Amino acid sequence: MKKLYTTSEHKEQNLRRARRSFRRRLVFKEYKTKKNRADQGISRPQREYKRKFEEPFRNYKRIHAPEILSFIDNPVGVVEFIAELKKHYDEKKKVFVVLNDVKTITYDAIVVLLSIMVKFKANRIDFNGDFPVNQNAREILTESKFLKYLYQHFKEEERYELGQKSSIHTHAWKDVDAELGNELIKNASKTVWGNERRCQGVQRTLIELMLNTNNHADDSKKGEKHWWLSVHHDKINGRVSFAFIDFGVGVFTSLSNKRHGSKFFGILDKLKEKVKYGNNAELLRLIMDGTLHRTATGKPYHGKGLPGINKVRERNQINNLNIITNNVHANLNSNEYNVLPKSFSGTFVYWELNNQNVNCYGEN
Amino acid sequence: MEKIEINVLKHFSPTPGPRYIHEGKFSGELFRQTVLYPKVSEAIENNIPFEVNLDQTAGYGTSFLEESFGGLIRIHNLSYDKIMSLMTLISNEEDYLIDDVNEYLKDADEESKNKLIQLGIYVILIAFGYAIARFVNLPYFEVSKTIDISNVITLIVTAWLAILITTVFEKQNNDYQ
Repeated sequence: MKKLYTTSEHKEQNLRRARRSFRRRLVFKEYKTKKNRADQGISRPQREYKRKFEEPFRNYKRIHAPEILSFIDNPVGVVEFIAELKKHYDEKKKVFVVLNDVKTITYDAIVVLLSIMVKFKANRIDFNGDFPVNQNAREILTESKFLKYLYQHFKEEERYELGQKSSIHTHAWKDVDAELGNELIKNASKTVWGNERRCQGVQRTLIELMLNTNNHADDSKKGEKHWWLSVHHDKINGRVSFAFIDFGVGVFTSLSNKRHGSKFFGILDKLKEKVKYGNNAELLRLIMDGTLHRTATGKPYHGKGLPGINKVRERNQINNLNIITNNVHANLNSNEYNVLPKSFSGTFVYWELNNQNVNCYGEN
Repeated sequence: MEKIEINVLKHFSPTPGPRYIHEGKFSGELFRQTVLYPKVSEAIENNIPFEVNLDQTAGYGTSFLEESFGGLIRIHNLSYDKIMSLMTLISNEEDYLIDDVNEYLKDADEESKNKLIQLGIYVILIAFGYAIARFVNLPYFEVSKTIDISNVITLIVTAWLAILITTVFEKQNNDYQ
């Protein structure tokens, strides 16, 4: 008799294999039953069509976007949406973003959608989605060329440029690019004032944000994470909006990580900070005011970026400045700093440029 | 009276960028090394006034200005008083930049002074410790009353190696993290 059926060891192995095979057969049987039930009363060509066009994304994990897809108006919903997408990205699972139910979509959300899509596609994780039923939301998404890029392949690259020649132009890079800032401002000023002008405040904001991403977004190495910048030109109202995002560690995580690494930062310091500044919203308020000097580098001459951006707003060089980082949402124009129930791993900044903002004539 | 002119737009770039060279194009570090420091040091050597024109550019990040001007004192050890007595800043488009630059220079000067004070404190502490060891008889400890140069060198080399090894391991650990 064969060895397989004589020794106890091999009998056990055979039994295990039989059980495995039986389980597989049961699963397949269930699938086949369901399929046959669904296909009952449908002709063969109809069945073919259904398989090809109606259920092409059945293996994808469906993630529903919030009804108000706006980082500023619905930060909690968008943070949860991003967290869900990130979870699947980390697990390398195919994702289908359901945008059908989206009723409102704002321009600041475009950069979120585009950046996430490129991240998935560049890492060869299948990503797809549908379109909102709502007409306005659909138009904004079409304007951003989201649909065009949905079917395009992306490679892991240092630099991305999306939506050229459209009113929503998106850029991504890892380094600080002052020349790009200058070009964007020239175009923005044409929309706002009808001619080329220089807006030093916008340039400062862009440089500081790019620099923050380059230095602090990744704790282990500098210049590892991309920053994403989406610029929308509203020609009717003469207004340009800028939405900047990085999926780094965020301001507070960066500050606390670096200080935890320091030899002199212990439990006592953490307690002292908690008692002294309350929550992160209060801490951000003090940092933005310039009252509290904080830098993750430990160098006293660093850490002037965030207060510098706030000064730009105070001088009326930009308008409607909003910052979302970790568990804080700050609307600096209304001086509101709120703690969010869920934390966003990264930094999101939104601001606008309109014809009331300070600017300079003349080309450089 | 002749003066040295430094114009960021003409001598460097219309789009000043980040702080350090590795962070992107037209950095403050590059500006300081190639334009600002050579001209400022020349002005200080010859006691000639110099003028820095910040106008007509696309705009500045705080770190560009800090690295350029603060770095003159921090990196090149130029005298704060000399710079302030010879420098004229022109910034008609963004007048607040003049205050910012002055603040960066002052901060860098204070930082270098603080470093000197720290160093002085360390030296005093070491001297104090040595004096105690030399003139006070400590029970259970034999303290040598003479200084052997080889012992001093051994001590310095050991301390230097300890610092070096700690730094290397810390860096490796950070990279790994």
